[in-house]
Amino acid sequence: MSTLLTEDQQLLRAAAREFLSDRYPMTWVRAWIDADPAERAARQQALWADLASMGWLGLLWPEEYGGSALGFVEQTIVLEELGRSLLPSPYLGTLLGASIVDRAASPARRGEILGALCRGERTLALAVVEDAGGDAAAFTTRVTGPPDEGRLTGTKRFVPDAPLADRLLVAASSEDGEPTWLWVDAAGKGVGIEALETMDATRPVYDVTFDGAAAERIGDFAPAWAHAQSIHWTALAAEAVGGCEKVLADTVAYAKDRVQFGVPIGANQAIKHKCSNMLVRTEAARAITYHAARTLAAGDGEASLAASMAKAYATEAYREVAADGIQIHGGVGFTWEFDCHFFYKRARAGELTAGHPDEHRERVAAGAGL
Amino acid sequence: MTEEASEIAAWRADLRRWLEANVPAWWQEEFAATPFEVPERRFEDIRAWQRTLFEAGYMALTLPSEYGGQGLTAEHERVRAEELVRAGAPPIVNEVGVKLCVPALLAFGTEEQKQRYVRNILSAREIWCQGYSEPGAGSDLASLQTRAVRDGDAYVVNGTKIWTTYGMQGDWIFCLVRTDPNVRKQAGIGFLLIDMKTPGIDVRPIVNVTTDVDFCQVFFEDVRVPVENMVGHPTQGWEIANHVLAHERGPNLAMLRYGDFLEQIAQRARATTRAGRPLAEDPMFRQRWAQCRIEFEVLKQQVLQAVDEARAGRKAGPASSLLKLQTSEFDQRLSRLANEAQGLASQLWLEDGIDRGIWQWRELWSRAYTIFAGSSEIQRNIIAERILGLPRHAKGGK
Repeated sequence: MSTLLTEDQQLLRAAAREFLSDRYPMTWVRAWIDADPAERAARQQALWADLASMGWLGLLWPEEYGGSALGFVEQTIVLEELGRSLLPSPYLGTLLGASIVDRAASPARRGEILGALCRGERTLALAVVEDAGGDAAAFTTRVTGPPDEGRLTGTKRFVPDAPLADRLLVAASSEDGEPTWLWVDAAGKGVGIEALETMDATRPVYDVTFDGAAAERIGDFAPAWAHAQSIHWTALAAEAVGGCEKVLADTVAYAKDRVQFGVPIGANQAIKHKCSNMLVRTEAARAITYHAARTLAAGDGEASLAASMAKAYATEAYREVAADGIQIHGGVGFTWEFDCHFFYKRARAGELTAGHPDEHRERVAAGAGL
Repeated sequence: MTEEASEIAAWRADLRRWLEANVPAWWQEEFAATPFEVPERRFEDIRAWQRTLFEAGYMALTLPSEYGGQGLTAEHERVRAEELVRAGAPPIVNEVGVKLCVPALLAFGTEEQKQRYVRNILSAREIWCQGYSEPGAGSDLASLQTRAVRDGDAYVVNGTKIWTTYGMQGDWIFCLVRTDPNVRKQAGIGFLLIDMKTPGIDVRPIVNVTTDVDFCQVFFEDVRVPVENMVGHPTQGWEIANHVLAHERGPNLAMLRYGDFLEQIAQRARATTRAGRPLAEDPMFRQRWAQCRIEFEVLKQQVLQAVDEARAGRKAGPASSLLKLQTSEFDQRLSRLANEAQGLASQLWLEDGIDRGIWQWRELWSRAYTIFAGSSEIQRNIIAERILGLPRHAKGGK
């Protein structure tokens, strides 16, 4: 299997970058951050139609449902470019939700839901984490009643992009004690979404409370979750790679432009070496991330560990690169006006989310039998 | 399978069988686990290995047969590199000759020079040294001072070269020498081939931090070198050196074996006790081990990518600085981890050390990796200037 992108994959990347920088530059992101909920919803609708028309909502899914049946490498390319643009959207949650439906749902529901997702008619958010973390054995959110007409009660925390999603995929304990996936109308009765002040304004998180909300049982929790986690880790790594690349490009441009002591600051070795390290980290993060993507694409049993490696390395690299970006920008790097802080905040969120790098390293050690 | 692909597959199978039968037993016993620096006492054995490879037709695959090559393709070269790593074969002894001097001769040498030297380099019949660095010219190589002054049919060479690997055993040395002191420093340099037995040459060994003599300082006092030993024009040396360098830094496939080392380190950590339990259970150690495991995977993927890019006909260029920088710094972390896994025993050395102290020795050697062949600082300058396009730093002097 070649490590190089095919010509089609390179074209996909070029098209994605052009599309996002033309239509969704940082001015759009800033306007979204400043917008009220109604304005956000309106922008979200236009954005989602755009993403559907680009074909990005069905990259992984079969053609019979309207997808393009490509693979994880193509999916990773798009996620990388979305990470580069810091675009606020329910894209990641929808992707993960779709992968869970793909693995856990009955054939009929799978077809219905994936079809609606490919057409851009549905957006999803994933509600898994509770106060005690993401351990399924400790879920206090519970579902009761028959599979089609369950009632859901409990609180999920740190749900990303919840108000942008029209359906929630919720992990909860069922009456027999087995954790299960539930399909819940985000606007339905008994669903409360509470906005939290989030450091990373481009991917806000919410508390979601269920008080007897109607819930449809989709399928067993564990097998679909294992696969979705691999996708999640690889996706966060891909976003990190895109973010690293953008921070590096902006920072190098600034270092060439900013003159002190009569020379561009980028002529100083202290700055050069920092920039070199940023590039080393970025390229290394890219290498391990696309390795994880190829491993996922091959359906390899090593995919989970490869994804852990990518998550640990790339999200840590992103935080460091984003921090160096602020440092090299100097005083203006600490201002709201420059974009550096948005990347740092996203990087920090990505590092914490879905398992801290320390947890992933422990997985890698345990996975190798250490 | 295309005809070409099946031909390569057959060639690979032959090579694999040949390696299984021919990789020397002493090497398998002593060094197969850590195939890096070869100790001086094994010099003649390692020299014989290169001769064996050459005679079997497994050296210089892509060179034309009139110079001792095999007239094969870059794809054969890649397969050879993979199979040598797979078989855990010893390195070749005349590496600087093969990698640096042969390409210089082929690109810039006369027909007589090619006929006289290339075959003898490939077969290790003559051992070659590299004469670039000087005590006053390390990272700033172009400021080198060793002079070559024309006197009739000879150049008279005065000066000194340092860090000369195999200086004690070498038959020949290819030197960068100052032929014109009155022009820009890069413009007044020649590429001169010097017979190490010429009167006026004095070789002094340098004992390094591992107590080995791996390199020497070579002194030249009124050494007369025939004019026909100049390669190219007498002021073309800098161009030749750069041309060769651009072709030199292929990906280092040997690092693909580091995965074995990580496994060895894990095993050792299970046997070492810290605070009353196996070191392998210590959370901090596990973090460090896993970080090395991840960094190894990163490097492995980057090396495979470099191989794929070379196959696709793309030149590595300054991107090879990224790999040099990362590999050398990773080596330091890995060997330190290996020694940490030994606990108190890691302070023992040579025969008293675990595995004959190979990891102690490698940890010390790894300090050199970030210095030679362009220090990490120089690599970071190259990355910043040639890849990121940051301004070149102000250079003092001519």
